[in-house]
Amino acid sequence: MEVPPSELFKFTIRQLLDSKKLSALVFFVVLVVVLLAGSFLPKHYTSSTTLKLQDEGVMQPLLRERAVVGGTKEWVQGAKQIVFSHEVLSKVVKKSEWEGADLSSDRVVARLQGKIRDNASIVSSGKSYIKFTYTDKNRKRAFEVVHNLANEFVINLLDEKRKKSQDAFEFIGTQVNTYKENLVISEENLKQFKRDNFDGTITGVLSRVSSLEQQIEAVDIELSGYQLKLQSLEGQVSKERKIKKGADENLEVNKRVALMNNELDQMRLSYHDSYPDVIALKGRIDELKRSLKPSQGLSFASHSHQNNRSGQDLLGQLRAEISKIKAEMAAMNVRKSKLEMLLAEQKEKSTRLHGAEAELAELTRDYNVNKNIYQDLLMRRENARVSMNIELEEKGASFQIVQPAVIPLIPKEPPFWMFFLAAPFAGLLVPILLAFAIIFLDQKIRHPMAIREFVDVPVLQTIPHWQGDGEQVAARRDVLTVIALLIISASVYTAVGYYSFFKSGIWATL
Amino acid sequence: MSGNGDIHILNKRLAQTPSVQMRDLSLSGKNIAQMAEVAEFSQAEKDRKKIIYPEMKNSRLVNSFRDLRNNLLEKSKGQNTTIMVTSMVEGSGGSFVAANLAAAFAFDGSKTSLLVDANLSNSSLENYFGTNYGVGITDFLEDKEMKIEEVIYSSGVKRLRLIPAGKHSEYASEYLSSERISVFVNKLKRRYSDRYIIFDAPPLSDPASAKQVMHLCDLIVVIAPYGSVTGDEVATAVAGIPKEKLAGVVINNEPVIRKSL
Repeated sequence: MEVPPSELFKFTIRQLLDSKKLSALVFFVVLVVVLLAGSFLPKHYTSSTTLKLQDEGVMQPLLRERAVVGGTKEWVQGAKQIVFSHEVLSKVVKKSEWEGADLSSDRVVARLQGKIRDNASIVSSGKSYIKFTYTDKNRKRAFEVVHNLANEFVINLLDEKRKKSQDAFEFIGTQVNTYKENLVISEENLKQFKRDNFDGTITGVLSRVSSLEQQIEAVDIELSGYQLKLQSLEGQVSKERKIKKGADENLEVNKRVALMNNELDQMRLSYHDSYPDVIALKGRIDELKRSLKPSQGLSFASHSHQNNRSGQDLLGQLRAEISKIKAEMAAMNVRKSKLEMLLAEQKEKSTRLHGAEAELAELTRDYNVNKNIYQDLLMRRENARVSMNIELEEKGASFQIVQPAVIPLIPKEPPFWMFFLAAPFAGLLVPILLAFAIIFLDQKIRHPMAIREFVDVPVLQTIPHWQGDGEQVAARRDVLTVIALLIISASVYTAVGYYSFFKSGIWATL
Repeated sequence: MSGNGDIHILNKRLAQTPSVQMRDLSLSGKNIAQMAEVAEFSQAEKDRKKIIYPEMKNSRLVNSFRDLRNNLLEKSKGQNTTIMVTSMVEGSGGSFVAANLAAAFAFDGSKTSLLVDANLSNSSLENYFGTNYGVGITDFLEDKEMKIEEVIYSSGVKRLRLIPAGKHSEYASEYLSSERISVFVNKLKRRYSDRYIIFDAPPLSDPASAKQVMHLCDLIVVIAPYGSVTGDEVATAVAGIPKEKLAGVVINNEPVIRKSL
């Protein structure tokens, strides 16, 4: 209900007065309950012992980063696992005194183990400190249990540590052997590969390929030179042949012209020039003369007899030159094919070498990885060996009892006088809180604002209760009842106080 | 209707109801202050019957009713008006508020009030004003010959008149839905211009009966008992009331710290 705090207080008081008999009864009951609780609630005693972890022993500075020694948290965790194990708890139960408990019964022992587990605690108390605590109704047993728990912890933890160190050493040893075998295998594989692939390196092959390509290129250039030369020579030979053929034809015509001139001379001897045969012969002679090659031919014809011999020589020389060039070219082609064959071989080799190189890289990597792990494991094995030796010689982590367990004298619960003082306040507080809770939680209408929260309707007025005559009598009766309850409460309170503080002498001890 | 006729009929009724004596109901609104009142309750009687009076010690209670009256006067804008007082649930103190609201209107010497017991099936006004009334509203509705004056009684409180439920309350809803009741209410309103008519109506938990009274009244006052109903319940209850008629809610029976000790 959303009402102003001042109104809430007023409502609470109204609620209290409205149910004053019940409030007084609650006051009385709470007062008595608190006093009874202070008198009869069982007392619990807590005993504790604190151990200091001697991590910074003589060995620790010498072994920095070489041997592993755990921190307090690790110890606390380990302590809980060890101390609350069935085996350790059984020992602790049997070593402690349990009035009338039949420790031969497994059920009884299990119940007592559960009790210890519920009431014992192990906490880290500052740096390097572990605190064991146990609470029990019996003072002596509280001491015994905590003492035995701490003892068992130290004994078991050291054993555990030794065992763990040894296990760690053995495990790393196994790993070292495994990696050693792997390393040997990798090494062997690498060697085998190198043996199988001993035909040069990829760089050598590439340089050879380049050299061969250059040689082939040079041969090609030379071949093209010879080709040009050959073409030129063959052109020259062809020309010489044509010239020689023309000269030969003119010589033949001249010979025939000379013969026909002889015949003409003969015929002129017998006939006139107008004789048809003479005319025909002349015509034929003219025709033959016309068929002679032009000036060159004539010049050649005129020189042909002189140069015939030198022309023959030139052609011979040219042919000899051509044959020589062809022989050279044939030799070069052979050389080129040889070079190309070599190049193909080198290229094939280069492809092969590329694949081999990838395999070699893989083998080398395997080898290196195995080698690194093996070396690391070797170092770790040595560290583990040192740790194990430290534990075996009991020079590792050790404990010093900083605060030994003692038999507790003061119970955990507050003393009776606190209950005695708190009782009337609790008696007052509980009804007030109850009334407040009723007002606060109850959704019933007690204030105009409470209506306006739900519906927009004006609240015209709040009419107060009219106490009739009969009600006044009842109210007076209620007041008397309340007074009676308060008197009874006060009497009980005084009596309890008198008995507790004066008769039993507690007052003197305060 | 003449004043002599009123006297005659009422005297006849008085013969049937000896404890309540009525002399004169024929006075006009102008001289109400001089209206003859007989057998007025003493202060002790009023205290016992829980009827407020101006001189009472519990001034907070009286003032709360005065404030309520003033609020309603403001809402009625000076007109004589019919006010329905209804509870959310049975036992919320609706009759108590209706009776004392009527008494509060009657505090003013220039005004009168008329309290009509319209909670026919569960009449409780007699707890406040006595038990010997004769005919009432149901008899008037039943008997067409009956005059309205025959059912108006002096209450024992100055300037407060009363119309009881009557003898035929077994057919309550039939009477309340009859046309004659509308005529009856109109007549009452016209009778005195300065008279405030207050209906003690059935609770809203009996919606059928409550609605029959609703349409007869100008203003409706809903009584919510302190610490007994939730805001949701109030919202639900007022949802069925026409907005123009709903005057508001009155929270009744708030515990008093000093008095309860």
